[in-house]
Amino acid sequence: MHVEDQKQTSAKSDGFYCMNPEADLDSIYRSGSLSDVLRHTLEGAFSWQRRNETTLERTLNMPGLAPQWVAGLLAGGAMAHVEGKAIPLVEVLRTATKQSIKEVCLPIEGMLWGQAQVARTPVDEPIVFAIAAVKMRQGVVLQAQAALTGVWPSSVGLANAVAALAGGPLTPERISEVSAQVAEEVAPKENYLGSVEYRRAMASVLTRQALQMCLDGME
Amino acid sequence: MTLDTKTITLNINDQEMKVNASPRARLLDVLRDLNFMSVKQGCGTGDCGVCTVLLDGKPVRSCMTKVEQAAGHAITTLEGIQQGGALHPLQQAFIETGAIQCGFCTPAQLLTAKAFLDQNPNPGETEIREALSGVLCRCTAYVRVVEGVQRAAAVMRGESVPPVDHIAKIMPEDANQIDLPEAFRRPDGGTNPLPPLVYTPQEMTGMRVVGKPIVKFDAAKLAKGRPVFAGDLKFPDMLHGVLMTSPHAHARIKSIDASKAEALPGVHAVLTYENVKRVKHSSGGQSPPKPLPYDQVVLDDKLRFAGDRVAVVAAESVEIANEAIRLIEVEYEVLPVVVDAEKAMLDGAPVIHDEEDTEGIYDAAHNIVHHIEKEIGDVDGAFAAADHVFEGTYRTPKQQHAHLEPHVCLTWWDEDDRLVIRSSTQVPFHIRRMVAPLIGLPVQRIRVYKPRLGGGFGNKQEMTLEDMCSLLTLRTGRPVLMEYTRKQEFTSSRSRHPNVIRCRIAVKDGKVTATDIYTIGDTGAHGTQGLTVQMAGGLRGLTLYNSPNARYVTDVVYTNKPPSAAFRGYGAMQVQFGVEVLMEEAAEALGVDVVDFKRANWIRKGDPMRMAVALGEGREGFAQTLDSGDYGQLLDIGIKATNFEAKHTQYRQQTGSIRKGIGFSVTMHGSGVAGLDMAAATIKLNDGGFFNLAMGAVDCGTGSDTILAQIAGEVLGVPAEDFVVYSSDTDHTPFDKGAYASSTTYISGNAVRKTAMRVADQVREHAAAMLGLDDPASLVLQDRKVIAPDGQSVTMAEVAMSSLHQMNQHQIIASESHMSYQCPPPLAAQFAEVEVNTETGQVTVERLLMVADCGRVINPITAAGQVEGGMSQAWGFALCEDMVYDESGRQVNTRLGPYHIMKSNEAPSLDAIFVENDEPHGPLGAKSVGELVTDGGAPAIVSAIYNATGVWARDLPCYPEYLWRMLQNK
Repeated sequence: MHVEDQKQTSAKSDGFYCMNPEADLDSIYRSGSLSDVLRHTLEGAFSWQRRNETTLERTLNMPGLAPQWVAGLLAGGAMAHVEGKAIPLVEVLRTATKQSIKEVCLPIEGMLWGQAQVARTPVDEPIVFAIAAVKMRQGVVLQAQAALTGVWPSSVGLANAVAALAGGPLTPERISEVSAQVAEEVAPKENYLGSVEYRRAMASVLTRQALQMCLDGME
Repeated sequence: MTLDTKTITLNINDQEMKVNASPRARLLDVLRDLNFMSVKQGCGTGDCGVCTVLLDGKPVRSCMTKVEQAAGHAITTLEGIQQGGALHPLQQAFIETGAIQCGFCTPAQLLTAKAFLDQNPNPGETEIREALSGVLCRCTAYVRVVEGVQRAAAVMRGESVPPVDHIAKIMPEDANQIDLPEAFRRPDGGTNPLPPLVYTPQEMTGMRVVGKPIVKFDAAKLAKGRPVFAGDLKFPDMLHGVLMTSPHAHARIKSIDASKAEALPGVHAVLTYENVKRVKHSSGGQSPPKPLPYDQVVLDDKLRFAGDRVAVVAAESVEIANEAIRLIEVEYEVLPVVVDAEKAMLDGAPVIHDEEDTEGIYDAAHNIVHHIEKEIGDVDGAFAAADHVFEGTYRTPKQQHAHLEPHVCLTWWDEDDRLVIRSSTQVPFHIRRMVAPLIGLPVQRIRVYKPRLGGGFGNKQEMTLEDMCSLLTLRTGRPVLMEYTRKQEFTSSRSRHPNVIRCRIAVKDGKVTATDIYTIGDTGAHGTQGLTVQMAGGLRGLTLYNSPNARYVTDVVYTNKPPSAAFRGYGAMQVQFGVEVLMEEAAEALGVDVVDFKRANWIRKGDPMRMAVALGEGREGFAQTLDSGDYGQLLDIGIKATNFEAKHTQYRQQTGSIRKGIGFSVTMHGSGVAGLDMAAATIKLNDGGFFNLAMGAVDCGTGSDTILAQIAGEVLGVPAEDFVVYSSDTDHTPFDKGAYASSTTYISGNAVRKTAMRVADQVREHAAAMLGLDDPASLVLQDRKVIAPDGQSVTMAEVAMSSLHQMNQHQIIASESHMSYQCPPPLAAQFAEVEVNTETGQVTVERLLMVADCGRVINPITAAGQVEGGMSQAWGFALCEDMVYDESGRQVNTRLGPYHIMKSNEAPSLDAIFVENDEPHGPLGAKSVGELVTDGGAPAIVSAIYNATGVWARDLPCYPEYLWRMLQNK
């Protein structure tokens, strides 16, 4: 899963879609390799102009430029290649070494995606946004992650509670259970668009709706 | 060349150009410096997209692109998309479909659409909306823009396209018998643009020029991106004026030292309160005598809102001016702040206007600038005798106009030592009169003119920059350009009045017998237009159901926020919101059908407008009756087009978290200010048979220049294109109060009609002499001819030739004025369909349909543009638009992104149906349409939310958390 030519913006390999950090988001958007849900994070509030101007690298350096997109990468379990090593992107984003990312690879096979958001209007910047990615094997969750925006001190973050879905079936009951835990986990800041209480409640509601969308995708 | 500049080679529209610029300079600035004036600045923060250009064929925002990033790439501006001098199919389609209103965002829309169609020649409507979403438009709601792209795509694919037209139908006696095109039922629920639909009574048919969808006269130059806006003109020795604003919402300047700023090379003037004469005035562009108080001065030592004027600098560049501002040393005494109007009225609240030289504040100690009480009949008696009493309190937001062109003003001395003010103003004549005493020049030495306006919506009815810019030219002797930043549009210009509306109605035997309304109008730091907005609101709110017993009490209150002033809707939007929702609540509580309840109570044709005398606009009004219109017609058509009754019943039964709702409202507005607004026009016949039409009327992008020419053309029997229209210039056009109060079609239109009638008389008289006839009145003007009863005729060109050069030589010319004591209300039924997510509280509007009676529809395409754009502003008023302040009085959402106005990819279906009625006072039967279209959206949406959820959203905007909490507490 290595992109040989740095000028190449993206490539599919071994079930991964690998992106050159210098690629602009529009070329990634149009690559045909993203799930509809992940692709949707680059639409709506995110205009064509912004996709053309913004490289993947910039969004990793400043996740606030495209928080829903970065949330999607985190939920999807994207890996960053740094100095020959593959490191989960979520770890890289916690460090100051993002400049040295050579490529970002996203698992694209067998993933179920779901997202949900609340905003004042359909393409207003979401007040809270949740995106979930679930990988199943033989009816059992192999891997599940959800990332949210609007509920953390920083612009985007993973909800750890969702990972607990791994090892069991994906059912509405289990989804409700982990979604309720997400409300405990998040640390929102209030602003004029939503109080702490509201954001916390929405973290749970939207995580559930996003995971439910994954479940619906199985059926 | 300064130290950090270098020579950069750019490829612009296939031409190689070398520029000396800082590599970090914005591409936007470099392109405008190179006179690519189609590239506009709307925000400078990347939110609006009107600066879009193509880089290697892809749209990018030139305000977010450094010039060094553009080097080595092909840059395309609108100036570069014409092919061999011919319009690009997109330009042609935008012109034809009415996609261009003010035209400020048009270049960016066209470029984005071009890039998109180059990639995708056969797009779906949703894809078009998504592609265009990066360019905001405040005028059109994108309806005709999408239609324009669809049309251009078809042309570019080689398909033939029909002429753009509206759907014309005959209005039957019974509105239930109308022939309704199936598309207007929206059977697929989609958002594809529909043509305007116009129902005309048989007796109103037969017009030749009026009623036709003539292309707006300014559309072609706007489609070409010509430099037609105030900021598109440059002088070689021009200075840039920049405003220093207050960081505090309430403060006194203890000391101000501008010496370092004045010493900065490139700085030519610094104005502060210390060196500008203190002349009390009010900034509202209204006819004199304007209501007191005159509570403003050009620059003051007391600052009353964050964004208030501290100083003004003129310098060689904006950058130098900004550096000078950083060098101005100000010591502030920070004062307590009050941003809530109800709290501002309490004992002990900070006193915002404690100065001694302002007269006419009702109760300065309680920040009450005006207190009005008006009553007719026996209100208390009617309440005492009522079967039922209902009441509710409603709140509306501080909405900002968000026109894409900021306020811009350019001033200079002309060769006769007269001051020229080129401004993005809606009121050139008021500006001339108002500026004169502030700058110490006689009115005679001032000329004000407006070029094309990039939207106004009332915000440009205020004097915001013209006084400061003029003073800078007077101090420096040089041309000065001033422009608000987008942040300053929020912090330093104007907004809609946030209102508290407490309504009470008495109901007896199903009839509303009394209405009692109390409003608090938050006028911000100054009282400009505060009285008139609230009185206009009271008049409309109380006339809608026209109770025989009615009371209106209002307090106009100062707060430490930017001044509220005129905004499309002008009080009527706020007060009718309260009245309409309360009527819905009352019907619900009574267990009666809301349609029947309103139908039993609304004003009818022939009824006196009972509050018209008590509530004039800032003064006593005039007796009036409703002389045209029928809400029943409008509502019946809307019910049919939305399948209202079935949906309304069905939606009440819903369970689950995603619920649909449908609602409606009825509203009215005015047409000009009765007994006050005056307009004039001049028409002159020229060689060749064409006419000059000179007017003081101001076209803000609405198409008024065009529709006024249509009125003249109808009278003179010539096509509208036979008029060369010039407006508005205090030196070269007759007076007009300006573009406000929904007055242009009605007041200016009547002035044009009367002028055209006088010219027609002159034409007939001369033609009769040419034909040897002695009865000029028997001649008919039609098809550019003057036709005698016996079939003889002369052409208009022959009349011009004869009258100017050959026989009884004289100039055929006339001027007429119009003022009216009648203010005919246009009427509307507004329908809304929504989807509510009860788990999150998010409301998504799926359809807005307005059935409007604006009298005679002069131009269906421009009228539909008003409806569509107005509904989009009402959508924002209901759902998202609000200027939010922290406790210190600083606005927290001073960018267009966080503020949020409608984007193309979230617009619901926005449909316009017109029902023509012949208004006896209107020009050829016309009434206004410009403000009516904003009034009904919010109550209709709230009605639909109730239908979906069973809760009343009484406070706007209806943010998700607000609704979510109400649903939690239900």
